[in-house]
Amino acid sequence: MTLIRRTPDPVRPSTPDPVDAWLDVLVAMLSIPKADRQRVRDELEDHLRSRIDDLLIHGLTEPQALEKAVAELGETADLARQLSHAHKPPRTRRYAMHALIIALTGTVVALGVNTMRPNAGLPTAPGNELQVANVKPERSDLPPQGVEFNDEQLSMTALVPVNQDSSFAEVLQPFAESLGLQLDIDQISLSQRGLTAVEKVRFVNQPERSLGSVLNSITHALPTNEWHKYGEQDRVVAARFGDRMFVTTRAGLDRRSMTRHVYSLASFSAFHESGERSFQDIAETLANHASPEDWEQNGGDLAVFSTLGSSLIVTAPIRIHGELQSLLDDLAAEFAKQEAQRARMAEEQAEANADAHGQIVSRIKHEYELAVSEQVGLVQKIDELSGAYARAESRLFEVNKDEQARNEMIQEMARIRGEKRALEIRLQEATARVDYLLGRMIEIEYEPLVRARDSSAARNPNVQPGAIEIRGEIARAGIYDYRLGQTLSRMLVAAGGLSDADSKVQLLRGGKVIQEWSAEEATSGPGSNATLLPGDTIAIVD
Amino acid sequence: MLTLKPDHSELVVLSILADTPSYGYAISKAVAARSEGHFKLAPSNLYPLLTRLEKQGLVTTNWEEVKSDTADPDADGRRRKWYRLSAKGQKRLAQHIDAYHRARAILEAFVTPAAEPRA
Repeated sequence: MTLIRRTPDPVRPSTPDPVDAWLDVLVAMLSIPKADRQRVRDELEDHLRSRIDDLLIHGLTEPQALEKAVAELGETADLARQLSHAHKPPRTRRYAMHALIIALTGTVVALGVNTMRPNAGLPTAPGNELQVANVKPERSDLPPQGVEFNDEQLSMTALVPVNQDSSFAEVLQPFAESLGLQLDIDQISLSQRGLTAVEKVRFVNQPERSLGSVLNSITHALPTNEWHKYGEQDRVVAARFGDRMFVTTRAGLDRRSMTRHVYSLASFSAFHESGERSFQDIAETLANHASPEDWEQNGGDLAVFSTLGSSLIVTAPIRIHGELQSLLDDLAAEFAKQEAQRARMAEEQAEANADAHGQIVSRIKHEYELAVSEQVGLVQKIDELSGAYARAESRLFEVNKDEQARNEMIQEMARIRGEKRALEIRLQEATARVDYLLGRMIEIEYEPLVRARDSSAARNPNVQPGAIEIRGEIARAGIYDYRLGQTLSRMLVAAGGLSDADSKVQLLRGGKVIQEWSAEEATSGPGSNATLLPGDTIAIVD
Repeated sequence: MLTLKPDHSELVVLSILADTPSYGYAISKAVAARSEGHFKLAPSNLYPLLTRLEKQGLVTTNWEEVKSDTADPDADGRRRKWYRLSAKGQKRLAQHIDAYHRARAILEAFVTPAAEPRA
């Protein structure tokens, strides 16, 4: 427990840790003394990372865990406000605080020291004393409780008597001792196979034997007829229970190591929710790939499972738990790989869309500029004609007496009026075009955010049918501060929604509605301070 | 799932700290566990509350350096803030419990059916 860090890292990674990024946003929003900010940040970092660790253990992927942990903290702006409020100095005098040292709770694992016996060098002393020649595994390398000894333990060697009969208990004793374990022979299981611990086992021509080969020899010493009765799967094995080296048959070990464990099937929720597979189906599939013949459901007598919601309860020997866990681990890795691939493809698609989208935006802008310049030109021309008409009108008074000039002037004025009216009609058209293109530009700008009314309900079951869905994914640059106020009203224009002042604006995170505002609150009220995270959804509900 | 009211939250957090010193995340888990999932103390309520408890001298705090279970063992640790109930906090907790018992006794008069109900 040394290291106090918090020296800023000079080289920041190009993709910042999302937890750090979120904390940056939060801390930026806090209105508290600078000295307190780091402490608030540290505490919330501990909370977030502890929570994420827990969620990962429960089978969520890292992005899911992050999203859920952040979602549980609620609106960033609200949290910042509440924290800032709590930090305001109280009216009463501050109490001097004294730090207490809290004893750390932790278990000190005492590692047994393995004493290695010196290699006797010479085989078979006449007294038949057995010695361990070469002990490879350290005590701390012992397998977990109830699990068969691994290859390393099985390859440890000892000197055994050559051409001399010893009981197999005597032969196994030095191995157990060298591992610091007490030998425990499962007499019942072995005698069911026709072998007793005092039975002599003959080892030929090989004074130095590994534990694995000794167990093999004992397996082969079982009477042949007994052996065939129980099938070739069974053999003599050694496993650790507490400080005992338990020697038994594989079937005996299975019986001894029965345990119950609850597995989470949460990572399979997608199959369940899509209706593709029930959790019961999923459990059956898993069982069919972990010692299928041993499950009660398949006519076996060793393992049994039940599902309860997304929990899988399994009572089985540790061996089968191990197979099940490794199957689940493989699947989790595979899901993560698929998820990463999907994310990569979505990103590529989003980039392509952004390119296409950019082209459309620039074309519409060009059209809009043309329409505006036409509109301006028409207004100018109409102004000129108005001037000409006014001048003609004043000349009319001057030529009052001259009948012919007067008629010419009246004709001229009629011509100007006609021309002006024609231009006014064109101006009306041009103005309508400018208005339309302006609306279209707003639409185009927010098009990626807006999903059609029809599809939104299908895509997200939490969005009410008929709602308009605006997704926060447009800002792909990590966690960002998104002021809804002004832009939301533009989104609403683009979405063609919110014609009704009774419309509600919802902020969804992780599929759940976490905020709901009236139209007014969303545009100019508390909603305008909301912070959106990637993947957030804004829904406008009529 | 019930969301705790502020005064209940204070009782709940003080009560948890009366058992053992703890830190934010563990406290939030303890609230859920002790109430068998009926109470939820959201982080946006818990951390401001802890700050206030600290400011009022009801708890004392200290920091510990910890490492994530899943993180790279060579990575830097993070800091964990531990809270421990002070003598003043114990007094406050006793007051809360007393107030609760009194409120319950009063409510009891309305909950228990009257001896002679009207015909």
